[in-house]
Amino acid sequence: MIEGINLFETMSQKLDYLGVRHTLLAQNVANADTPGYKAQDLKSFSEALRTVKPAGMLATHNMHMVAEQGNTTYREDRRVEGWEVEPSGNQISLEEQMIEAADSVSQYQLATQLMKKHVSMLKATLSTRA
Amino acid sequence: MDPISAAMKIASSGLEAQSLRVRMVSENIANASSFGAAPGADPYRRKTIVFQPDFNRALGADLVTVKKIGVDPGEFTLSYDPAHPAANADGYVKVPNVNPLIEMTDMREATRSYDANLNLIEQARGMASATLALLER
Repeated sequence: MIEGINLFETMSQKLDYLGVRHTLLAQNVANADTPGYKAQDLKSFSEALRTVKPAGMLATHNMHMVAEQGNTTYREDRRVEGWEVEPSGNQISLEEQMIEAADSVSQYQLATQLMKKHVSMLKATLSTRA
Repeated sequence: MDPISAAMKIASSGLEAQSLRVRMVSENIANASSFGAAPGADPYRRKTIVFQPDFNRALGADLVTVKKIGVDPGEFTLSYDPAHPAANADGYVKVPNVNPLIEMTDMREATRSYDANLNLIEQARGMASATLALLER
């Protein structure tokens, strides 16, 4: 059962990763017409799994502001190159961003389905009475 | 804030910016033939809108906001119409520097970006409900 618990951990990391990635994609799409804006993305999940969680800044006072997304485990990929650059210097292609977003949503669905399946497997093990 | 609601916040700032852009386009089109009041006076000048990223500390992400609503410094064309109340001494009227073709293209682009933001909100909602569905039996 230890492997099963590990799967839960990896899955919730994956969900977290996809959530953070969706935030970045939303940021790109919102700034799709901002002059000079560059697209941002995360490094791939397998790379992200290998990264060590950085020590975030500690909020020791209630006036301290902690940027939660900034303390994420996942590193930003700074070498993102979009499909095109507009004359205004904007490097975001809506088509590309929408494809990425659709992709990350389907991966999210896959992860939640797998998690569900796993829960039902655990339940099946627990209910062997009959 | 969790990343999914952050994504929705960011996309809604995009919706707001793009809808303001559509408003500017309609303002320009509505005033495409707003001539000057006095003889020789300047007519309506086309308005422009520029966006800029707006870093939000709480979200740790860039929203989008309007940097500036400016005016197009382009020259007015002159049309000969001595009977017009805004005509100057030589009989020429200054026409607003609004080009319907440019406005329409701009409107299309704004609508497209608006749709993209709307889609992202929809997707974020899908992700949230997929997570909630884990609670179902």
